[in-house]
Formats: sequence, structure tokens, C-alpha cells
Amino acid sequence: MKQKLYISLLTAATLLGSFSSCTDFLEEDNKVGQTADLTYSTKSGIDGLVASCYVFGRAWYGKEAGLGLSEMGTDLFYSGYDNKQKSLNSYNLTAISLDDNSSDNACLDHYWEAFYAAQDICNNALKYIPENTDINETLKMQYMGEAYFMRAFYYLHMVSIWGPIPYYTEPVTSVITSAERLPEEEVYSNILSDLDLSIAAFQDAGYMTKADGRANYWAAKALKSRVLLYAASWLGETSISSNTNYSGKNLYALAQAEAEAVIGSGVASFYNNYEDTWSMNNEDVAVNNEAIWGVTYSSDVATPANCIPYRYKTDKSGKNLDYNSLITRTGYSRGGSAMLLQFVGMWNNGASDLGNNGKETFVRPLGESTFYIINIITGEKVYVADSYSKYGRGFTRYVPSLYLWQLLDEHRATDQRTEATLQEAYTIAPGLEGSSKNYPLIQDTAIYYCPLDGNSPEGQAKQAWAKNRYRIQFMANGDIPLFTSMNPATALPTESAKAVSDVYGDSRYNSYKIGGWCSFIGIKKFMENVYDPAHPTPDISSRDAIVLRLAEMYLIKAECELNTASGTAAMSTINLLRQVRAKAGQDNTLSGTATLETVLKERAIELCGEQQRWFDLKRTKTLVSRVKAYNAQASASVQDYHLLRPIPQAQMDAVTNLSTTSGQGFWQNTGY
Amino acid sequence: MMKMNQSFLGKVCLLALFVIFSGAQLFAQKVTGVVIDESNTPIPGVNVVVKGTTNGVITSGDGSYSIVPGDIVKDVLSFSFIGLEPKEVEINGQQVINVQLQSSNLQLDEVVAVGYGVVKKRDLTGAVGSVNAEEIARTASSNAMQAMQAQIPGLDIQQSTGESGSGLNITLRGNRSLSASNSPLILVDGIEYGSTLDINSSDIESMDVLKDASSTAIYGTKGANGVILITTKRGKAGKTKISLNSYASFNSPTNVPKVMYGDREVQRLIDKSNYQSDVATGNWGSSSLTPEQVLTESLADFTEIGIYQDGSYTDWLDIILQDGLTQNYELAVAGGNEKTTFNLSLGTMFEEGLLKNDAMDRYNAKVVLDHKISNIFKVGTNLLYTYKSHDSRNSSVFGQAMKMTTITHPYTQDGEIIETPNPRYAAHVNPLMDEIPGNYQRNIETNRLFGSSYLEVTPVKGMVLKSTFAIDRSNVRDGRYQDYQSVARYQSPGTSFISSEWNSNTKYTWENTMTYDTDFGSSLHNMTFLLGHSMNQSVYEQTITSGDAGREHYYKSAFYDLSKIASATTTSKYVKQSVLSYFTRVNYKFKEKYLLTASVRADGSSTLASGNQWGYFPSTAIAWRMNEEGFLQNTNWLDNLKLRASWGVSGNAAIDPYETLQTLSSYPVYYYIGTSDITGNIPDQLGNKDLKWETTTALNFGLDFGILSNRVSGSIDYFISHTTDLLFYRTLPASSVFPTVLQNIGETKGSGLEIALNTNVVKSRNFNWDINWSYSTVKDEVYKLVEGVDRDINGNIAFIVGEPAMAFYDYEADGNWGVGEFQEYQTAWEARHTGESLGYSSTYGTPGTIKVVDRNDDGLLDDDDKRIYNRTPKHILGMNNSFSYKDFSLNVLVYARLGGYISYDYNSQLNFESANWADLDYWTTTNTDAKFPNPGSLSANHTNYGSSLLYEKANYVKIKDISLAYNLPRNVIGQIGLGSVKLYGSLKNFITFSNIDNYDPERGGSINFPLAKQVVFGANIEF
Repeated sequence: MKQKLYISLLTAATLLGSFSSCTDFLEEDNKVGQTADLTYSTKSGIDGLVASCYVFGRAWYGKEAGLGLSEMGTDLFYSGYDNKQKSLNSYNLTAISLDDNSSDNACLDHYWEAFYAAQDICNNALKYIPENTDINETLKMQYMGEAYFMRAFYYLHMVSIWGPIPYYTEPVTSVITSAERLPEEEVYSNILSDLDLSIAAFQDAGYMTKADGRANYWAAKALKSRVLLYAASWLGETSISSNTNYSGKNLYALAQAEAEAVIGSGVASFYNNYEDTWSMNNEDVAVNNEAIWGVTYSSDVATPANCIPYRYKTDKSGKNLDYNSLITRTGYSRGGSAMLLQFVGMWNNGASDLGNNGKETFVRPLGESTFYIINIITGEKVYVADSYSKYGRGFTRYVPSLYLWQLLDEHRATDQRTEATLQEAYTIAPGLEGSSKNYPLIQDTAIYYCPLDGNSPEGQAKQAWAKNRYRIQFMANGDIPLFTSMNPATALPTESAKAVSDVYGDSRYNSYKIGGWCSFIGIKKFMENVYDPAHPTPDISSRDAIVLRLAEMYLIKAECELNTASGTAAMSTINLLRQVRAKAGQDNTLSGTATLETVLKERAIELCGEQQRWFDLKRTKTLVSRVKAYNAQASASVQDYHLLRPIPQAQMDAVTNLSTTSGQGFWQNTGY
Repeated sequence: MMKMNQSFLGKVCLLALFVIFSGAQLFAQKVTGVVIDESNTPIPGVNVVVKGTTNGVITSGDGSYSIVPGDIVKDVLSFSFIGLEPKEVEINGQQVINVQLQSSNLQLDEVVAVGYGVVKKRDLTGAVGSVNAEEIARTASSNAMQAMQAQIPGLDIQQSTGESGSGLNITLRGNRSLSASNSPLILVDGIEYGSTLDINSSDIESMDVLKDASSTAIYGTKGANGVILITTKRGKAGKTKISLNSYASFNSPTNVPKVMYGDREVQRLIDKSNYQSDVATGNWGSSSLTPEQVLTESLADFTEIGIYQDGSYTDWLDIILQDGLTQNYELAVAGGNEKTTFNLSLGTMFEEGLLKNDAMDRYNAKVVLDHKISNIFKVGTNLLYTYKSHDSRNSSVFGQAMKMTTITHPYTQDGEIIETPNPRYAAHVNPLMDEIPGNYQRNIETNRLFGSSYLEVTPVKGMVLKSTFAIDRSNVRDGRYQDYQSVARYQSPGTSFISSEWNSNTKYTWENTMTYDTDFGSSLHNMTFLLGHSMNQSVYEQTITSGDAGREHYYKSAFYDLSKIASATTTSKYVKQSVLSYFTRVNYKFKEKYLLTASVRADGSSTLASGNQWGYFPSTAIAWRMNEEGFLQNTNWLDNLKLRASWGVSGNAAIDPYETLQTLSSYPVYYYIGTSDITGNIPDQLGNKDLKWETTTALNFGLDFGILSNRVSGSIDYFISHTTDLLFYRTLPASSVFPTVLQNIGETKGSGLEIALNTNVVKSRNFNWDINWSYSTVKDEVYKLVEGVDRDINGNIAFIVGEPAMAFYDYEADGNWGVGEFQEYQTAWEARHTGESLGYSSTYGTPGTIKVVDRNDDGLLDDDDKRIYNRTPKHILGMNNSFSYKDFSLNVLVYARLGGYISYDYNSQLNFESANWADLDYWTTTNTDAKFPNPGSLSANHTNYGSSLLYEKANYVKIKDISLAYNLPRNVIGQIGLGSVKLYGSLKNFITFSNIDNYDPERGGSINFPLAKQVVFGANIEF
């Protein structure tokens, strides 16, 4: 009995023991995941990695939140009715990380993450390109040029937004709990060094044309020109000391030289017709004559092809989080540029005065065949998609400031850009003439934004003409004004309803939607202006974001000449650009001596909405004065410390070397 | 994979051989007899076991039994039956032994399931709580886990939504883990199941909760959060029993959060405009607009002012919510003979949710077979098949209905749906768009086969070898079709969407145990020895195909026809996890008074880095049955007194596989260059090669008592737990690229007190009243984070050393600024801080906006001004009253949860421009004590500080269940051939007293799908 027991025990023990040999049982078997070393040693892996260096550009360019941080709170734009970043515009900005709040969020915390993720991809590329043996030396040099370019590109944004920032030259592979803020001068030195390496690499690779949307030799030169101008104006003309190639040199002169080189290179050229720069037919940066380089969006807007990566930050269970929907716009199942939505006021959904709540005249077409309006007089169906598709959806995010409108209007007679930039009227589809109860004389125009004082005699005359023809809204005053005054320093978009119209004596304007915060003159540069029956009124676009274009090189050159030569020289450079933008047969030149004011005005006219304004005002230290002069929504709050944005609180909470003293440990920017 | 399978099969064969060779034929001699009760009635179903073995039979319908003991001279037969005193009889060569059992006062001889075995309650050394079949049968929920709510001290079960088939949040003894799961391990018949119990409630025999570490350590790495053992019913020898259980439940929404309705919403618009006008003039309280001035908007079918005048507002929640009906039918047949027993059951449930098209159908089939081949060999199997089909609604529809203005009409005069009925915000799509047949179709179909088979060998007396092989295979198809006119697609992108997900999960478990029971030939000692091994592997595969299907209705093909997707995106996933374990346990009893349990388990897991894959989990427990001591034996009022103490270590590795590897993101990124989208893969996580188990060490002290003939009995447990090497998604500065990394850092500590008390208030011939009380309180805290770091903040979730493990960290609001109040505050502050100035943002301090407490008075609002809002409830109390009078019984279950903050979504339902508000009390010049800011104020302050308004203390008392049952008299039903008939009716979730109006805080802050209150009618019939 006992013996049997022992035998049984022994057998059981042996049996159990034999399982210990199954060491392979506990091995991880990762069939779907990939490792960096393996993937990036292949051709497709390194091709993909280099392409991925660009992808975070889409987080900033063409997106609502990036646009907000680069154009809002300047002299050019107010926030509209449904703006999602009102506290950013009014400088009631705090360091608080609002994460996925999408009702009012500057998204600085998400950009902080996105840019660090982006520079890390570049650092990975810089590490793995030289190790790859599947691609030839020429392609390697080209890829190195691209990776250096993009690292410089991301750091330029970071240093411009936050000032001194942590800087990495290698991929992060271990836990780092502290952070050191590298002084701005050193960051700029590094950026310049990256761009020089990029330029040299592109030169070695012979990659000196704008072939396909990749960065290239001339893109690097153009970006370098911008970087030098930023450094010169923000830090000082001979501010660079860490990078010995630039130590003690006049940065304006260097910036000017690069700009001139790009202008002379022929990499880009002007269209005779300024509008062509913004035609959807030319949206591809590789095709657009004037573009030097930009962030691309695929024409595939129904799949994740245009999406940015998920956040590296994870939830409690380790799942990667989404970037805020103000950045992704359409989430992660599809993506594209959201620029087409941002500057559009309410046209269809705000046209309550236009009979049957506007539906007598306007509908937002969602399908080619299905969207028609019945002419109330003839009773015939009028198909409207190709007429209305371009207006897009009235997101009412950004209202051009009175200052910008007046600036553009000033040279209307001679300059193409006024009409090519401003969406001044909404016209109806052919076949709907006369089909409006409230405006029986309607012909083509349904809504017109008039750059006049409604109380002026000219305004009164216009009003009289418009009566029963279309809705007319004046810059200020009159029946339904867009702004509260004609003074750019105090003007605010109107918000209230008009209980009884002075002109018609009825209550057709009794809606907040007729106020200037909903119904306003738009910016048409980014509209989906070529009708595509497959995407009528798209809410996301394949339009590439042009980041560097020829006109900017002239403006850089002019600004440098203020320093290196004279205001006269600067003016003649500006006039070169103005002549290109002249209406046929018109003299569009300015006379006199240019000042920084002249340059900033010209930049506003040429580049408004192109995600540069805030940086221009910041680096020239004119932000506070110009906001006080031209943006009544922000003038009460803006202060000198706003030239730097707050470091996100999430970063402050996480660093182990937090400090309350500027320049020591990891400190918060002053004022936040 | 292939290689593994071969070695796996090889081992199965090896075991079979082992079993065959170690078996031996034994000499057999039979003992028979009849078991009767005090009234000389034969008792069927009595357990007759040869003591110290698992050789046992059950008396048949006439109370008779027949058993073959190992040794007819020396062996002892033990007779046991729930509710009766067990009895042991030495055989001494007798071949007929008739026994009379006395009814027991003590429930101490009930057995409770512990890991890999059962133990008599009297011999328990750890902290274990149980729910029996009768209580389980009272649930009327698709998830049988509901049965445990308010029943077991220390177990906290909460239901957050009323969506059909929704899950439960279950925690035991508070929270230990910060990133890893805090849910207990749930096993059905010894095999891991998951927390949604798709099992007929009448198929469940018992639910046992292992609470202290000495009980859970036998489950090693998975035991740290407690273990819930679900035992399903098996067959019993004797007369074949057929039982039919069925109920119908009428479900209606309860405690639905209210949004502003009608005149209240109009008033909000007026107050908003008045405020804005006052801000402009600076003359507070001067503006007094009329509805006519404010209600300016209109659509084709109505004007706002017209609706105001005729009161034809729209109550959206009322329109989209419906009453639902749940029907449940369960049929079981059980029986068998000495050699073979069986239990077959079928179940069907049709559940309707509170929204249209939210419904679940479930079908269950269960087969249990046990067969004794001989006295040595026994085999059995247990198979459970479940089919579920769940039509699910888009959960955002509820939110859409809440934010939709009520000053509107849902339909035109012609009865057509107005697609965008908010005249103030065209982007708001009518929630009814999803109710147009076909517009939103989502169906989740689940097939699951869960089962195990075992071979049990009793080679020598006292020794049982058992080998169990279990398989759990489930397939899920989750199909979704969203028409271009559905709520989510209508405005953008205006195209139809099709998505189809297929996944399969295959788990194997092979477990081999040996138990050996001996008394060393002396009545002083008793020892049970367990040695075991378990290997377990799961493979999860998933394929999702989805994409845009253009501007077409595909009502009919819905998500079935994937060829309709214009350009489909397909993703796939493969996850494999393996765990290998060895364990052993000794239960030792000396003189029936001194009990000792000791165990150790070794677990190896594939999810952890090599070198850290193995973990060792020891435990020990002692108990002293004091009432058996001489000095207490004459204390008549004392029936039971046991002291217990235990210590143990258990683990938690509930983390995703592949976290140890630095891998590239599984989501490709694309970038358009030239003419194509180039695909890339980027590194999006830091791998951690040093990952290891999270380890919880816990001490438990317990006292079990019974006094006054057990009229009052219960237990008290106090525990202290200490968790180290926390698996934690640590927050890193985003500047170091990866803002989160999984690490073993930090420690948490917890402690708590649990009291279970059974009081028999009235006991008489016809009337009986029992109250079962349960009470628990628990405290947890973050004890340590990384060296040199005392807090980890992630939005409003913070882990701060010395503070509770589950807490919100946020500002504290103190109402709103009054007119001129901020100027006074500023003057006073500047007087306190000479030469300094306030650093608040420029619009801060405007009347009618949130006043935030500057806790450190430094003139800045930053993290140092935030406070902790503890989420863990202070007290959880359950009281279950059972009254019985003759054939009637009444149950009333009361549940209370006190303390603990929730983040109440309702308090964020305020939109400054376009959407309707929750019915919140907001500031006006005449209502200055309100909590919420004025609707006309700038949103900036609310954006920055509004989250401070979210937190509410979630105190509530709920009468969870009132059930009245009537057992038809046996003499009546006996004549028509029925065994028993019970008819019952219940009111569930009917009465909740809460400190939050119109809300059931059990939901934890969510407002999306309200919970249902149920009226249940049911019948249990036995043939």
C-alpha cells in the first residue's frame, strides 16, 4: 500500500517535472508586429520611414488647430460664431492641458506631443538610412537630405511656439524623466546646421528639382532663408554664436542671399493669374508653379490615407489615444485638409431671409443628382450641385478682420489679390433667377458683403439698388452691419438679430445668423473651387498645403533689405511682387520708402490664412501693438509674455526637474 | 504553433498511460441502507462518502444508497445533506447501515469551493463569501453576475449603462492596480470565463468569492484581485428532475437625466441674452428681454416663437426611449444513477433595450455528464454552448437627443422627419434618423463553446488524480452599416459606411492535479495534500474590414456585402498568450480545532520579458476553532467561534502581450508623394524588457461566530494589502517622445473591514424573518511611485503618494463671481501680498463665471490649487430581508453605497452656443448662489476650470429588489404530478434615494443609456 503510494507520487512528480522542459511554450509569438531594426533595413521599410518623416506636417498644416495657433490672435482674424479656440484668440490661454476637449482648445498639449513624435521619426530616419544596404548611395543622400530638412522644419515650429525647448539628435529608446530646455540660440544653430547638412546631401544626391512633393535642394534653401529671417528678427541680426558657420554674421544678409538664390533658381514661377495659384487644379505642390514645397494630401479622402498617426500617449490599458478632433478633423477613418471649412460663413444655413429659410435659394448639395431646388416661379427643378459645391460648409470659424478687409480693399482697382482672396458674394445657381419671395428681383447675387459704411451716401445708394434684389451687408452701419464700427481698433463682428429691417420693415433679418459673426466675408483661397461630382460640398479636401512659395521669397528679401540696404530697395522688391499681382494693364506699385509696416501689410495681403501671420508678428515683436490696434477681440488681454505659448501643464506635471526659475531646470514660460 | 500542439498532445497521451498503469483492481464489498430525517421521511440526495476519499454516492428518491467502501472494516461512512447535521458511522463490517440525520442549526458543514477543491465551511482558514443557488435564481438579468450585488461584503458590483447585454464593473476589496486590471478572476467550473456570465441563472449551483490572499494565492498571477468561483449544477443520482424556470420582465427607463425643456430652455436663452447685454452696458441686471426678442429663429415648418406660444416643445428623450420586455425560459433535466449522472439544460432569452432596435437574443445549451467507470476511474464532461445575437444602437444617439433643442419639432406637419431640426445649429441631425428602418444596423453575433472533460483516478485510498482538459472557443461577428442618412454620417461625410469585424478566441487549459487525503492513522490529524500543474494558452485573431460605400442605401445587404465598400481598409490582429503553472497546497487539521493551510504556486507567463517570466506565490493561513476548546464547551449561547489569520502573495499580470518588445506601430501611416500613398511604420511605444508581475501581499484576520443557537451568526474580516512592482502606464514628459511607458513602479496599500451578519429575527412555525447584512469599508492609497517622484498627473487623474489610488485631481469651485466681487477679492489679495499682482487670465473674475478656490493663495491657478476627489466609496452596505409565511416568501434587498466621488457627465452638458443644456442651476443677477456659470458668459473660463464642477458625491440607497414568491402547496400540485411550483413577482431597481436628482449614481457618472427598472413575473416548476 505504502509502496504504491510512493510510486504514484513519484510518477506524478516526474510527469509534472517533464513540463518544465517546454520553455518554448512561454515564448512570445508576435506575428503582426514588426521591429525597427528589421523593418528599416529593407527597402520598403526605409522608403516608408522617410515618407513618415513628413506625416506630422499634416497635424499642423491644413488643420483647424494649427491654423488657430498660426493666424488667430493676430491683426488679421477674429473668431467667428462656432470657433473652437476662442480663448486662444482672446489670449485667455493657460497651460492647462485640455486634451480631447474640442469645444474650446488651443491643442498646445497635443502639438507638443506631435512635434516630439515627429522629430523622433526624423531621428530614426537619420539613424537607419546610413545602415540600410538595400538602397544606393544617391538615394541615401537624398533621404538624409529629407530627414534633416524635416527635423529642422519641426524644430523651427517648436522653437517659434515655445522658445527654449528640449532638443534631441537621436531616437529616444529609453525612459527619460527630465527635460532640458535648450536656449533658442542653440536651437536655431542646430536648425541651421540641419539645413546645411540637408542642402549638402541634396546637392550630393543631385536632387535639385521639385519633382514629387518631397523636400529638395531648393526647398531646403527656401526654408533656410525663412529660418535666418526668423533668427535675425527675433534673436537679433548677429545672434547666432553656437554654430560657428554663422557666428557673428549678419543673418539678414544670409537670408537675403538664400531668398535671392531661390528666386533665381527657377524652381518656382508665378502664374499670370493669381487665382491659378489657388485653383484645385493646381493644388498638388508638385504641380503648382509657385509652390516650392508643401505638405501633401492624398486625393484618397475616404480611407485613412490622409490620417496622422495616433498619439504615442496611451490610455490606462495601453491603447494609443487619438489626437484631438480639431487636429484630425475627421478622426482616423479618413482625413485630409480642413482649410476649406475654416473661413466660410453661413450661406445656406444662415440665409433665413432668403425665403423658406434659405431653401428657396440655397441648399448644401450632398449628391449631384439629388440636389435640386424648385424655382418658385417656373416650378422647374434646378440642379445646383455644380454652382454651390464650392461654397462648402459654413463652419464660421475665422472672420477676416476689418483691418484685413480694408487692406485688401484698398488696392482693389489694381491688385488681383483682392478679388482672388475675398469671398464677397454668394451667387445663385442659373435657373433660379427671380425665385425668391423676399427678393423678387434676384438675378445672380443673393448675398453681398459691401466694403462700405452703410450710412455713407455710396452705401445708401448701394442699399437702394440692392433692395428686393439681394441681401446686402455693409462693413459697418446700415441695415445689417457686419462690424460694430468702421474703426479697426474697436470693430467687432456683430452678433445680434435685427428685429425689424429698416429697409423692408419686416423681420427677415431677425436672426443671430445675420450677424457678422455668422455671416461674413470669407477667404476663398482654400475653397474646393473645382467641382467634383464625386465629392459635392466635401468636408475634407485633398488640397496640399503650400508651405514655401515664391512670393514669400520676395517678401523675405524685402524685409532683409530694410536691414541690409534701404527702404527704397525693399520697396522695389515689394513692387516686383505687386507687379506680378497687378490686374492687367494696371499699375499696382507703391511709392515711397518701405518700412516694416509696409512688409507686414504686403505679407497680410499675399499670405493671409497661410499659417504664418502669428509668427511674423511674434518675431518682429509687433504682435502686441498690432493686436491692440486691429483686433478688438484680443486687445484687452494681449501682453508681451504672449509671444511665447505656455508649455503644456502635462509636460510640467511629468518632468522630474521642475523649477520655478526661468533658465533653471524645467521652467514654465513667464506669465503662465 | 504546430510544434506546441504536438508536444501538447504528446503529454496528453503520457498522462493517459500513467493513469492506466497506476490503476489496480480492488476487492469490492457493498454497504447499503436508507437515510431518513427526524420525521422518518426518507431523504433523497444525501451525500454518502467513504471518509477521506472521493468515493461517494447520493441517496436515491427513496432515501436508499449503496456504496462499495475500500475497506469494509476500517472505513468510515459520512452522511451529509445541506441543512442537516452530518453524521459519520464506522462500518465495522456491517453491510446494512440505516441512518437518521438531525436538522442542523449550523450551516458550517456546507462546502464551499476553494481553488482546486472544496472545503467545509467549518474548516475554512481564509476569507470566502458565498451566494447560493436560491439567491442566484432571483436575478432577472442577462448577466448572472448581477446576483452577487449587495450580497458579499467587499465585493463591489456596479452597472453603468442600461444598454442590453451591457457589462458590469466588479472590484473586490478596492483598487490595488493603477494600470493593470482590478477585476477579479472569474472561473466557471474551474476554468476562466470572463465577467459577462452568459449562463442560465438556474444552472448555477453556487458562487464563491475568494477574498484573502491565502485563498487566492493558489491562482498565482491572476489571483491578486480576488477570485470568483462559479459552480454549475451537475446531475444527481435518483429520480429524474425536470425543472422549468421562466420569467418575463417589463423594463422601463428610470432616473433619466433631464435636460432643459420648453419654457426652461427659453428662459436660458433670455438669461443668456440679458447677461450679454449687461456685460456690454456694465449695468448689471438692467436687461430684461422678452421671449419675442430672443426666439428669433425658424425653420420651414415652425418658428421658435410659435412653439413657445403654443407650447409644442419636443421632449427628445421621451421620443427615443421605450419600454422593453425581457423574456427568459430555462428548461433543465437532471438525474442519473449511481454510475452515471447527467444534467441537460436549454435556455432562451429575448431582451429588449430601452431604445428601439437595441435587443439581444440568447440561446444556451448545456450538457453535463459524469460517469463512474469503476471505483478507480471516473470521467465527466461539461459543455456549454451559447449563441447571442445583439442588435446594438449607436450610443451617440442618446447624447444627440440630449443636446438637441426642445424648441423644435421632430416631424413636419406631413409627418416627415425634419432632418436637421435645430434652427440654431444645422449640424444637429435628428436622432430619429437612425430609427428609419435600415439606416443604422449593427449586429453582434457571438458563438461560444465552453467546456471541459476530466478523467479522475483514485488509485489508492485517499488519493485522487484528476486531469482536466478545457476548451473555450468563441467567434464574434460585429457588423455595422451606417447609411449616409444616419445620424453619424448625415452631415459628414454623407456617405454610407460598412464595417465587418470577425474575431475568434481559442483557449485551451490542461490541468492535472493530485489530491491526497490522510489522517496518518490517527483521529488527531487530518491532512489534504494537493499537487497540480496547469498549462493554458489563448490565441486571439481578428480581422476588420471597413470603408466608405458611397452615397447609396444598402439597407438590405447592409454589412453583409463587403464588395459594396469602395476602397476597403482591412486590419488584422494576432495575439497569443501562454501561461504555465505548478502549484501545491497542504491543508492540515489537528484535533478538529487547529487548522493550517499552506500553498505555493509558480506561474510562467509569455507576456513578460524572459528572465522575469516566472513568479512564485506562497501563502499560509491558520485558524483556531475556539468553541471546540474545553473552556468554551459549556458556554451554551456560543455555537461557533473561529479565529482566522492568513498571509499570502498573489500576482497580477493582466497586461497586453508584446509590451516587452519595442515594436513599430500596428497602424501604418501613409504619405502622398508623387502619385501614390507611401506606407510607413513608425515606432510608437517604448518596449520594456524588464516587465514583471505586479505582486500583492495581503494579511487577513478573521473571526467567525454563531450565538444563540446560531440565531445570530456572521464573520468579521480585516485585511491589509500591499501591492508592489505595480504595472503602471507611467506618465513621462511628452518631450521624451513617448509620454507613457509601462513599468513596474510604485506601491499601493489597502486595508478594509468586512462584516457579514446573519440574523434570524423571528423564527416560528409559520413565520420566519431573516436579515442578512453585509458591510464593507475599504481604504486604498498610493504608497510609493518612482524614486524622487511623488505624483503622476494625467489630466484630472492623478496618482499622488499618500492619496487614494482611485481619485480625481482637480480644482475646487466655489460658486460664481458676483458683481463687483472679484474687485473686492483683488483688493484684499493685494493687501495680503504687498507688491505682487494677480496672475489670473484676463477674463477671470467676470460676474457669473466660475470662482475657483486659490488654495495656496498665490494669485495663480495651477496644479498646486487642485484637490483630491476620492472615488472609492467609504461604506457599502447590503441588507437582505427574507420573510416567509407558510407558502409565501418575501425578499427585500436594500443596497447602499456611501461616499466616493463620480465625475458626473451631466454637469458638463452645458454648451455656450448652440446646444441644449442639462437642467443645471446657473448664475444670474437674481440667482447668485447657483453652481453653474451664466450661459451668456465667455466659454474660456469654463473651458479651463469647468471640470471642477463635475464631481459629485455618489451617495445612494437603493431598494434593489422586492420579490414576493408563492410556493403552491405540495399536496395540491403533487396530485397533478408536479414536484414544486413557485410563482413570483419582483420589482427591481424601483426605488433609489440619491443625493443627485434624477440620477442613479450606480452608473458612475455616465448619462448615455439610463438603467431600467423592472417588473418581473416568473415561475419555477419542477416535475
